Amino acid sequence: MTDLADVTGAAPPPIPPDAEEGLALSAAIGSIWTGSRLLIGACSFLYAAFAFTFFYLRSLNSHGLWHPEEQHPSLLIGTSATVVLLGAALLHYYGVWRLRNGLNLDWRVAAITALGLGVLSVGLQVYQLTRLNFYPGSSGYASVFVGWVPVHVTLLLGALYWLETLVARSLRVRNAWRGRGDLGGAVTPEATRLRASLDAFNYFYIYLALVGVAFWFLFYVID
Amino acid sequence: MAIDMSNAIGVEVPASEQVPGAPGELPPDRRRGFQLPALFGPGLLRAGVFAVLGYLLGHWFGNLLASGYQQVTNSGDNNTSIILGYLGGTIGWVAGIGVLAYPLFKMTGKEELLAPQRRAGTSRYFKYTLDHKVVGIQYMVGMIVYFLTAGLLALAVRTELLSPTSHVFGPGVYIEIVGEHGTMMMMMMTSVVVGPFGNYLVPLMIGAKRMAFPRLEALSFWLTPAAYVILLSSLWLGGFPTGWTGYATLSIQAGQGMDAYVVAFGVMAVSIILAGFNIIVTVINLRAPGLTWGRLPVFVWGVMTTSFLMVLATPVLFGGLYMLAMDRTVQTSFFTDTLGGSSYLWENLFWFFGHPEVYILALPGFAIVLEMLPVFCRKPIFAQKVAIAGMVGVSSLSFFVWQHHLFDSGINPDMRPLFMLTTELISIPTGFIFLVGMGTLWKARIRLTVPMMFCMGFFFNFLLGGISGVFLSDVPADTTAHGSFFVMAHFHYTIMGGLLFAFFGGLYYWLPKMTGRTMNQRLGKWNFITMFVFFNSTFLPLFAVGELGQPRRVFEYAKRLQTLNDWVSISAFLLGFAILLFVINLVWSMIIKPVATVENPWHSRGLEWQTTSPPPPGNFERIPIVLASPYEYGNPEALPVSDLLSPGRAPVAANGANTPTGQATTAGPDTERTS
Repeated sequence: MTDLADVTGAAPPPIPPDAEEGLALSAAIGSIWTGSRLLIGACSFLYAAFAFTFFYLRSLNSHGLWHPEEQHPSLLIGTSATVVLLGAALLHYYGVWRLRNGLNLDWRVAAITALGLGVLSVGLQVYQLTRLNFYPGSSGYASVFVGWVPVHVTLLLGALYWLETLVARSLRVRNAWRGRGDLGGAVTPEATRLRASLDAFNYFYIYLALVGVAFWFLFYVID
Repeated sequence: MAIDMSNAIGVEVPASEQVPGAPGELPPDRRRGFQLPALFGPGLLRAGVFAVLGYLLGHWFGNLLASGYQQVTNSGDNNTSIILGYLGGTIGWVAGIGVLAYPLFKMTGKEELLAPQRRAGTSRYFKYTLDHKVVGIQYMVGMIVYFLTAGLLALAVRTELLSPTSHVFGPGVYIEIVGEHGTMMMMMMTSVVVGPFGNYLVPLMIGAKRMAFPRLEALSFWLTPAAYVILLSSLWLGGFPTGWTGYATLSIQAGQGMDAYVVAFGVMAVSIILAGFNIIVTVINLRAPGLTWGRLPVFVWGVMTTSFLMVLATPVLFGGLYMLAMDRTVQTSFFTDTLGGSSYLWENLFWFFGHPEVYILALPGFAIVLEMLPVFCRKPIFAQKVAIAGMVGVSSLSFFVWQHHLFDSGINPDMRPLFMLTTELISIPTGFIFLVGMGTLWKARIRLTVPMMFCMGFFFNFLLGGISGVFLSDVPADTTAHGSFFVMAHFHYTIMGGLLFAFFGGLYYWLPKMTGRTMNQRLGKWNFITMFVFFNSTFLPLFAVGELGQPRRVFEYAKRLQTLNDWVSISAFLLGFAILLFVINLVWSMIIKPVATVENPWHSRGLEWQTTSPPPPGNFERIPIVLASPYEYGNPEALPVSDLLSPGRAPVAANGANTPTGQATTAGPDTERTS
């Protein structure tokens, strides 16, 4: 916003009311951009607490109880949940790319599918917690695993709520923007805000999927 | 990686159609359907009822889940039901106040535009509101209530320590009170500046009409009463024996009062993250045209660097509290050594937040005093960029010092020098900020108003607190002082002597802006003098008490230390009286005998003073264009700070004084450059 006025000389003319609307819009778009990146930063520190816990307890191996041999969560379910989530994020990324080319229906289908796949990933992770062959307090590894999954699922549910509101809004307003480029093309303030929100969500969803992959490596490869 | 969608090419909608309600833009959706009677509408009554119902529901569910656990049947303590009860109560509270209405409404694809909050009167302060000024005042009252409650608990502590042998409380109750005092103060102090002043003043100082995310801002406040009640309720559940640090494994073995600590601190952590998040986004995106980073007020810089610490460090605390809750409920073993966990894990997670927390407390104090100093010295901030660099340096380095809290508790000895070095390094940027304050005071013709007195008190107290902190960062010195009253005196000097003195100064300075009423200056001076004298009289002897060997958190002590302890206790009661003077002044000046303030009573160039007091809805009639730094006092060639010229107000003079028209002032403008 600050580059909009040259203030090195005498006082410039006041900002007219309609220009204030433009400032408000650019502020709203910037806020969505900054907010989503900051959200990723905050979530990274939360996830880092679990990663630190993983390596700290692993290196201490108190009483030889970091990870007893027989304790393994289901590789099939864990891998499926991770792959489904990654697929959902990539599909949505592709859908947004198609939206930018004016293919609104493609994005809607991709978004609704990504929503469904996200729910499936959540379901798989919750189901996995009910099929464990160890108790939460039976080792350091067990604690980290049982502790991490609900956190990831909660953040994922938050992301899915975000996607649901975007899809619902785009469906509700599609008639108003029909013939004007629909969501992908309309140049109204609200359409611009909605696209910025979509872009921000895209980042966050991909981020969550990558975190899922990183912890999959911790739990199933490094363990 | 993601695609920037904000500039997608498409069919242009004519500008005429881009107003709400026009064909191109959509009108705001309205909620329809059955309207509840006002009694059951969003508000405190409904929030209270929902909180009780939520607690009962959560408690019942917890019993359903865990009453059969062997751990529960053996001990009779069902921590799951208590924690779920508190969480249910918190959700019920925020739902009742009206926080959840919008997110649920949004799921249907509808969108409400933000309308200006035009509700006037006292009732708006008891409601969920999107007006940052109302939220700021709500925070201010909330933080004062927190502070007074925790202060009364401190007096209870000092009452017990009047005698080493005759006891008012048993050892168990004593440690409960100590823990409650410490936790409440630390929870409160985290938000004591960012909450009231950050929310109220930042939009005004950057020329914005609102915060970036007003709903998150309101939520961040409404979580704090829930945290307050939950933490207080701990006393009815036997309290918690760990103090504010919540060390494992004692925290796992403790009774149900510990559950209150976990949930209250967790709820407050969410509030802190949301508050910091909102401030950062607002400052980055909502600055008025012309407000470059170099012109940004130092207060905003301080609040923003603090907010980064809040957003990045607090999630780690939240993670640690979550693990503690899991250990206490589903029997994970994060902090149990014999089951593959480690109690040191808690110390690492806690202090990774806990030490940045110290700077979350210190930086806003510096931000307030550096904002006020040029106003009362009538000269620009000395080396402002150095102060900002110091703030950024402190906040960055604060992530690399947490292990010094583990010097005496099992850290690998080889790691001690590293963390001793990083801890001592952080005193350098802190020193920058302090020296900037001293440089601003140098050869200034100081106006010794009440806010300025608190600034001076801040510098004196923080100097003692800071220097004693350097001792504690040194491993050999820390080994002797660790866990003693020396440490206690040190952090009270930095937090109470530093942050709280700045907070009180800020209240005297900005309350006229926030309320349109001015505080009684004579009472204010007595408030400062008594507070300064009795604060030092209370805490200075505690350095000696600590060096003589009295440990913290223990209700008995050596008889030879009774004289010093009695001196401290009596001083503490008198300090309580000094703070009572503030409360009397506040009630008297704001409610009983309000005196309207003049426009810009301190003759500040700050943008927040370029609008009416209190500011109207929307803050400014139009978005201002910022023309110059707010600190160009005494510079005859300086441009006015902005292009604003409110009705009935004089233009901002080039020499920095904003001269009110036809109004008496409390102090004449002093524009002479003195250095």
